[in-house]
Amino acid sequence: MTAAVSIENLTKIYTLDLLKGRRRVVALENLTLSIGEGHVMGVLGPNGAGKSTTIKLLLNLIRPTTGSARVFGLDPSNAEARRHVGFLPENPAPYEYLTGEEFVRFAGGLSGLRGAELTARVKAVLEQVQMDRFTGVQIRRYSKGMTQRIALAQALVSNPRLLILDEPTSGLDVLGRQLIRDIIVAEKKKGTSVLLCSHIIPDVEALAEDVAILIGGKLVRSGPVSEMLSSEGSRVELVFEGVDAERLASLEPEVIQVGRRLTLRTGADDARALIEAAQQAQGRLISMQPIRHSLEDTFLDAVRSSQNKVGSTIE
Amino acid sequence: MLRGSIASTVSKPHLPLLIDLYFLRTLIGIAEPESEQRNKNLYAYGEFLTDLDPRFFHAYYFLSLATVYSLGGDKYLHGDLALKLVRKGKKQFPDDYRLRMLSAFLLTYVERDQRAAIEEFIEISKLPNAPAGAIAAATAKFVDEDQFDEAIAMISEAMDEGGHGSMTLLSDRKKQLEIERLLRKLDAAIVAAKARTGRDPQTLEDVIAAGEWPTDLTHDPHGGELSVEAGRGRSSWLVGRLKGISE
Amino acid sequence: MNGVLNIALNGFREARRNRVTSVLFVFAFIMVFSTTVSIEFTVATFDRVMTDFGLGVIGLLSPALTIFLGTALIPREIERRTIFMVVAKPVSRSAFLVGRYLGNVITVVFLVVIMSALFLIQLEVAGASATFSTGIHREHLVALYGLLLEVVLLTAVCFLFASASSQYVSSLSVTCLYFIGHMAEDLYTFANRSKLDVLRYAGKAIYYVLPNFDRLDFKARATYFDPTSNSELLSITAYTLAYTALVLVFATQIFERRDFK
Repeated sequence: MTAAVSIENLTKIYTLDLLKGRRRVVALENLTLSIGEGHVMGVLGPNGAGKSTTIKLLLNLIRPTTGSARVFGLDPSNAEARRHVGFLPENPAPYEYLTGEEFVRFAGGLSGLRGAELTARVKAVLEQVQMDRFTGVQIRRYSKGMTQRIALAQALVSNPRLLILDEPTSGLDVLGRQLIRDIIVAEKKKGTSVLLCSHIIPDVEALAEDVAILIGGKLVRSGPVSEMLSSEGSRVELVFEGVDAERLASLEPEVIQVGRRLTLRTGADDARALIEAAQQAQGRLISMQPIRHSLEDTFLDAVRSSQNKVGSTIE
Repeated sequence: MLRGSIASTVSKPHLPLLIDLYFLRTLIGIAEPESEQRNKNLYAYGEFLTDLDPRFFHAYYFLSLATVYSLGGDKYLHGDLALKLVRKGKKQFPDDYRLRMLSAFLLTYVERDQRAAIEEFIEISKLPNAPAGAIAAATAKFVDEDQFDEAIAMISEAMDEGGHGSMTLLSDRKKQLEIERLLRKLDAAIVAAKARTGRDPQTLEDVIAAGEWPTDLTHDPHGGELSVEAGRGRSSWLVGRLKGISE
Repeated sequence: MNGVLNIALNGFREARRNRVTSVLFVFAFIMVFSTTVSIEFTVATFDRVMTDFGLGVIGLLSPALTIFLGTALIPREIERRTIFMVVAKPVSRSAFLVGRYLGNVITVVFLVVIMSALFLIQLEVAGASATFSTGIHREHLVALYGLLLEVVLLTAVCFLFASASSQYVSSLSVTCLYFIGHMAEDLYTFANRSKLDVLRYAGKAIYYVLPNFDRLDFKARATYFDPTSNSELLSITAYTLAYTALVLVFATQIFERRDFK
């Protein structure tokens, strides 16, 4: 089975003509990555890490300096490579003079859909993104969230086998984010491969099976999300009221006191002792929550270990 | 004002429109009250327009006419400018009698150069469909040179050809020429009679009596009665006598 | 091919939605105004003034529109990033460019055809009430046809420049080319008179390499109803189509290599 996406040693260097002379900007350096069919790959990275560059290389929006990218085994410069790809760019800019429905129809037509099939697909995806009530309104009158949904609809209209989503939830309200998460989950169930670029880590954590962390144009970590989550023992956060900090300090020095309220973090195994100590001091347990060592920590670790070299390198 | 050749090269794709805008501007100029300066400007517009578009007939035609400034009576200004524009036009339209007629008109009434005007009429008369008036006027040259046979032949030819407008005008002129031809002979007879008798003949009878004029020739071919007046021949049919150019 | 057509028709729809057609109202206004003026003033030159005005105004508006629209489209698509979602579809960049080109040509041709129709109707209607009018001539139609060919070629030139540079640069360049192209014959003649070899060759190079818009300009001929032979019409049609095709090939080559950052 061919991978939906396979990238080998992909490098993109922009040459800028600045007033001070020519500068080479390494946007992406020796990236090797692959996404199997039906897999959801999350790509994390700070701004300028090379996420969008990678997507643009896959979609032939820019050309690689060296290395190769393949989409369903085809070079991106071949239009057929995009036959089964749906793309939602960051801050999508659909044609504003079209209505939502017209734009999705146009996109469907470009993907090769015709006649009744096209009409049915357009109707289906508009319902899917819950935009069926605004189909006759010109996109120039849309809010950011509506535009995002229409752009997602055009990505879905051709029933793609690979979805490439660049910051799909940025700028959306809670409902919008939830809708897009639901749609990605639904697509995943259908067996669609997804490349999800985001700097919203919980989204990636919730949706992706694999994750790649890009920093400064380089791949610093990659692997299944489950492996990225902390292997340390689980920790909990406890909140007490009516206890002096000193009474607990011997057990756990990491205490935050706000008014009468104490918040402290500890390993799950030590929690029992702490609760008992607090109760003996006439204190009351308000809440106890598990703290997961999340993808965020892994990400921050990766950033730190790359010596804060955030953004693409300029030589 | 912009040099025509530069303007025409730079604005080539839009030249016709530009020319017409100038032409409209000019026509609006014609609607302004006449003044010496206005007319001079119109001449300049005429030159400019015809530089841009040498084939713009009406620019030559209208604007040379509009250039002439009447001082009242029979005094005019800018006749030279008007003629300059007309001559430029004549080079473009050598076969168009309208510009030549205008030229002859300007020569006759504004510049008062009758000889040049007649030359113009002769040129006009050679054109197909020349107006009868021009042909009639052209014969004045032959009158001047006493070549009545040629003049009459020219008129007859034009009448045979047709297409020159008024036939009456031509046939009247022919009659005039025939009568004048006869009257010139009578003039000669009067001079001869005087030489013979030593007296000025007062009447036709005096000339006949002197034996210088046939007894039975008392009427011209068109029925006018011949007589002697102030020492020259006359016909009751012809008002006055035809004059040469220099007279 | 279907992609090309889709993009072309969408481009035409864009132009209509963006009220490019309001140009027609401007045109209609100018024409009605000029008719009134010319009937009032022009005496024996009605035909001439009507012809020059009608063709002149169309000849002024159509290249202006062409350059304005033709150089704006591609840079705007890239700048606003609307191009991202389109070229991410299974459509080649060449198809995108050619589709965009055709859409623009359809738009401008549509406008020229409507303006032409207004002009011809006016020649007939206003001409009927004017003493010195002979109505529509074949030469009017020839001149309008020339304007259509000009638009087809000029749009291609716009796209060539716009595929490689910004709107500002390309509109300036195309405007210069438009005027130089109209002076082609004159430049050729001037250059041939020159004593310098360099100038002579430069003149010839300009004449043969740059688009010769002068060949497509029959407006001045229409003024005097100078006839144009069918074979000449055929030859300029072939010239326009061949040149347009060549320019588009170059444009797509450049466009295929471009990075959309």
